[in-house]
Amino acid sequence: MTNTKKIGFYALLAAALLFTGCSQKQVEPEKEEVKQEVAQPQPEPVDQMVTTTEEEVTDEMIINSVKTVHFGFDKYNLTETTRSTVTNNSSALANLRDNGIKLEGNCDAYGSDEYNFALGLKRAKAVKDALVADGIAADKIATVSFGESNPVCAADLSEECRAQNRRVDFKLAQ
Amino acid sequence: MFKKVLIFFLFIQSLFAVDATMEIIKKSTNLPLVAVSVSTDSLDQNTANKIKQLLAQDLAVSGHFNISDANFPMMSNQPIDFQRIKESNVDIFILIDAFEEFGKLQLNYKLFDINAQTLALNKQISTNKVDRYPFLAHKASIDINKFFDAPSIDWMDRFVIFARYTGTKTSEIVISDYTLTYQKVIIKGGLNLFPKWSSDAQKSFFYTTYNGFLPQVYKYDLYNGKRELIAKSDGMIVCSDVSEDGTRALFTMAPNAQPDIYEINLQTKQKKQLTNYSGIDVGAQYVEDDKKIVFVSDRLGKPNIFAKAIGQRGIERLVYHGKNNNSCTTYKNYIVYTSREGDNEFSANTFNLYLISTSSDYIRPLTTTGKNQFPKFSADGETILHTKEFNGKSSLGIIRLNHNKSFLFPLKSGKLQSIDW
Repeated sequence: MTNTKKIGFYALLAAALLFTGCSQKQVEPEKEEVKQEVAQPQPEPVDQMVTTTEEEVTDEMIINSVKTVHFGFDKYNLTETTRSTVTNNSSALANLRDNGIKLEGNCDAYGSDEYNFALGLKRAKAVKDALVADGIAADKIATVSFGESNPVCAADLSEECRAQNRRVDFKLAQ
Repeated sequence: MFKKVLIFFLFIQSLFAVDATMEIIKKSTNLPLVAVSVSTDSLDQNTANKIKQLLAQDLAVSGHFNISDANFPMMSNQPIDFQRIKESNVDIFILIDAFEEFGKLQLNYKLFDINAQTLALNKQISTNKVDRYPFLAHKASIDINKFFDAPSIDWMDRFVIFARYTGTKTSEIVISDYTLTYQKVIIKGGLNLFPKWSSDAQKSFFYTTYNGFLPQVYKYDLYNGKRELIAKSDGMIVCSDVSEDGTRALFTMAPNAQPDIYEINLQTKQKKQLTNYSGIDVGAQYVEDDKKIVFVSDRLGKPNIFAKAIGQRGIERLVYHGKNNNSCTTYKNYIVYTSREGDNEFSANTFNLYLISTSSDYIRPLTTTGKNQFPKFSADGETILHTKEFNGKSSLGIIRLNHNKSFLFPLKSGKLQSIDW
């Protein structure tokens, strides 16, 4: 992960915390007054606030923030758009502390199931290769394929529904 | 009468000896007409009637008989009125009765040659497991078929093993008869896939489980319920075939997320990588005395069928038809493969089965609708077992190559994932 991307990620988290803090003060004004009588709080340096916020970001929050990567019919290559999605995901995933990443490849229900398991795996591998190119350590990434066994849309046979199933999910490797 | 039947069967055998890729237009009027009835004094009428249905169905599936709807209810020891049965143009009459005693189910059946006016066969068969009554019907059908020296239908009483999806990331492994009438769940809980018999004896099978961190293949012994870890792999692992002597097996494994074909010595657990391609290689099967493999690969940009001699580098393309050939089965120089129809995934007849011979250019279509996958030749090469999805229904399909007939047996619940017999 580049320094520019890391600073950008922290800045977003800091902004989120500041916004949340302001909202809480408006809801409970009386408690704020009591605190003021006991001790006048000193303004905290920006650096300290960012550090505090970073401690609260869990690996679960990071993995839930990244986007699923989708693929074309019978394809396992990344397009310009999906490569960009992986790059954005890399920025977030670089901040994982205690866990590796498990990439789960999935397919729609076409083709033989064994071929689909391999296709799902190649999709996971394509994402893994892109993450590694973005600076994520290869030994922190596991890949697995669930073929067509893990659809997120099984409602109908429409292209929209099936397209949702041709994907790679990001999970924590705990 | 028996001479007429024998001549017909010799005709059928000679056709297959020439080329199975030729479509056979059979004149069904040449087939002997069979009627099956349950004796009125059968102690277990309910089971006897189920066996009757299965027996008639088996004889129809064999392709060696026509089945009459005529029913001739009578006592088991009552003298046969041959003339009355003859008036229905019936050639063969089978009278059955069944009874259960001390947990054992017995089937008695008599076969009458109506033209010769004789009792030709009188047999009793039994099982200690009453729920396996479909196998009594299948065994009786095999006996009757053998009595007429017809081409073998021994595959009928083999166990079929399959995995079926029951929900998201959940599936179970089931053994059944070929009609899916008998079913017993063997493995359940989590994701269990790709069952494969470990030998012709059908005493144990390999299967993939996703219930650990890495996908694993276990060998499960049906007699003692014990399982043995055979191999595990990052990404995926599937046992796709077992050598004739049962000492080696072919696997699709993916260390470093790269699916390739491996062979594992089942005694030493040593593995040998047989293919090394940056795309997808899957579904390998032994051919030519287990010295060669046939497998699916996308090395030409789309899934197709290739062959490779074990230990040698050259790879040969086998199928030059279709847009996507992602599963196959082989018997001698015959290959049955799937082919995606149409330019995209939206056509109604998505995947069909085709039969080719490596010694001719003729392509014989075997299915015309639905998504047909997992073709498996029977041991004698005359029958194809496969899975079919059509109109949202999952079925087991049987294709009788010599008779140009196909039969579907729908799964009551779930979706067929893979199948073996």
